[in-house]
Amino acid sequence: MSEQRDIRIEVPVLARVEGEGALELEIENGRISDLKLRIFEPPRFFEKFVEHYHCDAVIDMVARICGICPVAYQMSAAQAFEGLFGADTGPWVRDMRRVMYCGEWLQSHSLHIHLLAAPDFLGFNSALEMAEVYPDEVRRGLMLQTLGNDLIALFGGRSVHPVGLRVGGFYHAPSVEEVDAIRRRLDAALPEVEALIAWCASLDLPDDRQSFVSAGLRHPDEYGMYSGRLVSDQGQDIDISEWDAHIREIHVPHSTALHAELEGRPYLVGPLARLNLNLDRLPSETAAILERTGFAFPSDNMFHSMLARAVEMHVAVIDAARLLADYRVPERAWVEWEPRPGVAFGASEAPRGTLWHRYEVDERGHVSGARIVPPTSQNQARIEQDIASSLHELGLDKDEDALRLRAETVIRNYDPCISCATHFLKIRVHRR
Amino acid sequence: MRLVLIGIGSPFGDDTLGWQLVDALAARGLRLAGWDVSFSRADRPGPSLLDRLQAQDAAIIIDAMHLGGSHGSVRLVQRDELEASGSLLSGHALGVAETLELGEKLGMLPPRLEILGIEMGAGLPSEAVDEAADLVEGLFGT
Repeated sequence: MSEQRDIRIEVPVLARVEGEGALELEIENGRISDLKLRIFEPPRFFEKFVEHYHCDAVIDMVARICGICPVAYQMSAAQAFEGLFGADTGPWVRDMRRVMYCGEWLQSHSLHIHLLAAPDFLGFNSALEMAEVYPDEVRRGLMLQTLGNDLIALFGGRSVHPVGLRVGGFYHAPSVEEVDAIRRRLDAALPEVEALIAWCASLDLPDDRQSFVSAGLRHPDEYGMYSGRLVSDQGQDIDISEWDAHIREIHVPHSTALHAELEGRPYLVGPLARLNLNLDRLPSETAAILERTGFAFPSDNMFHSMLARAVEMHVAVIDAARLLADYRVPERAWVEWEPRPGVAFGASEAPRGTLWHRYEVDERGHVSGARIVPPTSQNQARIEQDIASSLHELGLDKDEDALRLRAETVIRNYDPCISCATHFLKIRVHRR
Repeated sequence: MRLVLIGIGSPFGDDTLGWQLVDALAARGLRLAGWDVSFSRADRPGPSLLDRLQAQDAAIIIDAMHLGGSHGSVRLVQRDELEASGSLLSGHALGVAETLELGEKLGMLPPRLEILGIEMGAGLPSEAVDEAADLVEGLFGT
């Protein structure tokens, strides 16, 4: 006897939608015999688009890869070129870039927690439903998201695809008055983020412990974000120029985004992996709040990712406020540099995980080759592992709706940059 | 009484009409006695739109749309004419309709909210500015 059931989820036609995702699942004799997360991602084309362009233009071009995390793309690219050219941007540029990056973490994490992930854990179909029951929490989330957007716009001119960054620094330094105004908002936001951590910790998150490898950037004296070495909880400690010796990208037929393996194994990047690897780099206030939640980290429960995001929002508010505390307008917001031919490497921590860039650059500072490895690609193999494990845990005899909801919840939990696509998840279950 | 006119759009392409129209209305100066009028551009709907609507007594949202009219024609659009997905499941899908629905549930909308749609197309015809100014003055003028 064989039975095949196809389920098709209605896909509404929406503007401002990027990407598409689908899941294929085959269940044979009560076991998963095949599971494929099918996704389509744009970065492959961008790697060709940027060829022959000057590095300053490339910084703005790669920002277009994502509307939610453009800053991450700019930061990885800018540092790659500066590293190759030997341009020491100095502490002011470095600190202000971290502040801008904090803005992106704030807005992206808040968006994910409140509009994408939390409804799953509270039993709502959408954030709109959730907003009726939890209006204060959603308002708080929107306030934090707006604050993050405004931090990006402070340095980037605008929050979507900001244009303020250049190789060597920024085009423009904000005024003391502008910085004072946003610093007051950061101070006011601090207790709100603390309350957010407590709220996330109070949610009934599934108890689903799994074995996985955490990887992410680690910096000598700050929480991994702007720069660092790639480390893992399996002992890897890699200079980002050595990336290719340890991470292998693999093409799989069912996805246009490459899968990636660290020393031959799937691995996790993103908030939970970062927190697991950076516990001793948390600001002391954040560490104390995390301890009060009673949750033990490092954690092997993927569903603790949401709590990790809230913790990272606290880090972002504390760091941004600290770095802006003695703000001064510099004589110039950038340093001079001369192009130099060679291979440039840059990596930073996008909200969703490590974002690695490699550029071949000619003597005029024009890009002749590019490779970009975004976090969602790196997490694909891990997501497939997670779905299989989580569905087994749930019970494969459950109906398709329950299986789809759990699979969607697992995928959303990674906040994939094709989040829009994974929400229109088409699932096809073959039973034999 | 505070009234804000918010143009929604992006810097390039037909979608920039919302910005162009709000800029043109600001440049023209509207006769709206009793209203403290401000003008703003939003680069995407979502939380930042709700933030701009806070502490306002009234707001007019101006956006380029496919209304079925001729290029540049302007008309008031009812909330229920906007097609909301009703799901608000993705950051990318946070359109005007979804954002206003969320704002309503959170009590973040001003007491008076009007939506002014301009038919998509390349460039802003001057008649569109006249039409829009007439509509706004009809609604809020004395």
